[in-house]
Amino acid sequence: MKNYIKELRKEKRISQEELAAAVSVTRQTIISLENGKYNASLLLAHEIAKYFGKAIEEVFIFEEDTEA
Amino acid sequence: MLLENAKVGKTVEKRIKNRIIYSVCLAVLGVTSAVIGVGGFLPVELSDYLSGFYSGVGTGLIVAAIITIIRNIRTLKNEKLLKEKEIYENDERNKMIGLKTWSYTGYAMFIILYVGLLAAGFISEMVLNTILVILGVYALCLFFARLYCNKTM
Repeated sequence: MKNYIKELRKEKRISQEELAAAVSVTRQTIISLENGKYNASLLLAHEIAKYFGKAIEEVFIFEEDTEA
Repeated sequence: MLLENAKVGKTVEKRIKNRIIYSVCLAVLGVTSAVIGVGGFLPVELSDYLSGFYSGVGTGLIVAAIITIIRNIRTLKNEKLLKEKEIYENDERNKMIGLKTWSYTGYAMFIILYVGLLAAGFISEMVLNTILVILGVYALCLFFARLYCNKTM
């Protein structure tokens, strides 16, 4: 699953730390999400999308060929 | 939202308080082991090895419990540490890491026990039977854990 967290974060000029605090996760989780090493749960995806004021599908791109 | 946050904060606080209670129980267990190790009042005489073993295990438990109690009390008294702990413990990636760690350890343990079982046959029948019982109990735990998860999830 791809995501645009890094792009949206840079657009909003906030640090990984700030985003992590806003969605109540550790900074390491944001790093892993941005690097594509970890896929967010539906709940976290919803929180992140809500934070950026976007729909989940605008932040997270689900690829049918890719394993979750 | 504020109310939700307050609720989560309370949950972590409660969890930490419970951890302190469990640690006190562990410390009591440690004291019991250490006292058994020192012996004297027991009807049977313990060998030097067993005496050292029980004293060591007991002391280890007491030290671990005291460290845990101090750390948790410090966290409870510090708002910033409490918030950090709350985030760390509720972080879904950390939870996933915890689950996977247990899972991999479980697989490794099963393989180690099986290899140990095969090797034990050449060493001693008693060791073989002991490992067999451990493997049996392990398999039963696995079965019931799966049954429980299937019912609750």
